[in-house]
Amino acid sequence: MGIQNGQVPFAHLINATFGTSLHHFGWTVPAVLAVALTALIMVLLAFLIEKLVLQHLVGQEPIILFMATIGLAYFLEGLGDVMWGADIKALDVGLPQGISDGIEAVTGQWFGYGFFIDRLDLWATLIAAMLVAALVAFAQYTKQGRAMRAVADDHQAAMSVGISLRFIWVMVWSIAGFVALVAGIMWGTKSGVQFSLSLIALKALPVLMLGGFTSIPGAIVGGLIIGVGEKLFEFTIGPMVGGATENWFAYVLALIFLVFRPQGLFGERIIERV
Amino acid sequence: MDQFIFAAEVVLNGLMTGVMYALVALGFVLIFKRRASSTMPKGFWRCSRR
Amino acid sequence: MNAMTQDGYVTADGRQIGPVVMELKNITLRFGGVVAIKDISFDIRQGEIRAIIGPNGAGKSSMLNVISGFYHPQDGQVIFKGQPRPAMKPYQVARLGIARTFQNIALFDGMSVLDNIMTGRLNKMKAGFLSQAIWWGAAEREENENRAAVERIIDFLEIQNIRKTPVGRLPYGLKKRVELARALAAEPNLLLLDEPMAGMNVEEKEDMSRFILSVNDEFGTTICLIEHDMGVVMDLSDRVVVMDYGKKIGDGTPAEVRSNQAVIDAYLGVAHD
Repeated sequence: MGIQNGQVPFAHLINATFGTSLHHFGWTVPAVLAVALTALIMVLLAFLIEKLVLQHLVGQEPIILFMATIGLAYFLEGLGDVMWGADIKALDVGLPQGISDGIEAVTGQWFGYGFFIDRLDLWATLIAAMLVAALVAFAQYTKQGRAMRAVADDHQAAMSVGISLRFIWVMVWSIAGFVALVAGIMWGTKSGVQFSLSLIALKALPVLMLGGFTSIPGAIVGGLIIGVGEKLFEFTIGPMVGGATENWFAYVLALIFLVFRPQGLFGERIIERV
Repeated sequence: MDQFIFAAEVVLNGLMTGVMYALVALGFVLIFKRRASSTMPKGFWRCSRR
Repeated sequence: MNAMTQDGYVTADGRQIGPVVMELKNITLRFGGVVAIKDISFDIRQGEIRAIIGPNGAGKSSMLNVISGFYHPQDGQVIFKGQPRPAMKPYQVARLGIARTFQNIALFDGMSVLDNIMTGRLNKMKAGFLSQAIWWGAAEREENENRAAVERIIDFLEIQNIRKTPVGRLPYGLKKRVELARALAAEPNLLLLDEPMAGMNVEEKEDMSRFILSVNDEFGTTICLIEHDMGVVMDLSDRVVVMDYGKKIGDGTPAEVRSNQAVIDAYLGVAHD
């Protein structure tokens, strides 16, 4: 958050409008307080979005909700842009960075060629894998996880066994928010905090199309297939077509899946009920 | 052989990116799973089929 | 029926029925201008099998939905164990120990039979999810206890061989039985069955009747059921409420109801002529 180093929100806008040259308050906020403030503002924002936008869309078609959330995302992006400027900011949460010498040495011994693996990638993978495992265990073995799966399956039945839909709703959004937070921190550390980070979220869509929108194993397998697929494709076919295939490979793969297996690898079969 | 080892490195890198994609996608799945069955249509469909 | 007292009565087959658990007082339920239930009062006593019968659209299912909290009546009181019950969400009602099944079967199709029945015990599980993560042992013990209880119910309802089958693949009659199992898993004080035998063949109906009777007999569970099939109801239940067009037209033992002229006119006459 900009407030941590005393940045004035909307500095550019204020300066442009009033001809001032405000940029810094001249005071800073400790990191812990900044994080707490951020959390508070996010909760407030979530509340406002629910009250001002989503509440008016209850019972609408999913596509309308989807469009509304995309609009919201662009609005927030623009707001952030105006507030802090669009330059890339470094995020350092203390994860080790740089090429791992150990792996380079070991693989060098094995294959006569050292692999270049970024330490940050290793750590990020480890943390992501742990979080994925924790989420799967949560959904599979805990009381709340069971309740969550029950609600996803049948609302009426879930209520009849004593599950509060509202509680599950809040819980699911909180978990999803937490997952987004961790993913955001790691991608942010990897490629700097910038607005093109939202493209990662967009890439979740082809991953979901591959795996099926409602399947947890689908999301995992889909993510791995797209990750490996786009790198391999870039490596093998990329040079022939002038590179930069990573930008579109995932979407083309998703397109092929939409044509031949619209429910994805693990999704429930889509049945038109007439 | 060299090509093969390069490919292995690429796959490894891909797997690591893939796990991160999976994490982002997982966040979405949680929401979609909850959304998938809208309020009450299940019984309704069964009704109308019989 | 022997003399009805404050504390209960003794049925024809010699079972002691206890005091009133659930009392419905002057319930009126409207959907917009349509009156689904009109000023109905009746009670359900501890340990009895109480049936609500009536022709299609008589308001039976609405009545059950009022008891289970899915509908909220505009007028009247629901009194549970002597206390007037405020308007509650279905999940709160479930936590009071009132379990139910649905006419059109509401099961979790994606889960196995075992997992479906386990959801019935969600409210029996105390451990929060943090403590489940930290006190793995305690959570595991709790899980095992619940699992054992569920296995007893599975044995009881004779569905051992389909334990691991996803519910979506089961035939209709077995789904009904799994739904009953899930309701039983909650060890309810009051069990509500919405047309437990609808759409079943004769053999399945006989099985289901046997299960309902033995649930009542072995666990002492109070049961309130809705049924279409007059013959089945008369054999199963201790007392019967008869509804027609949202009104109560009869209430008493099967024998009493059978000889009630209003019931014969409204229900039997129409249905069996």
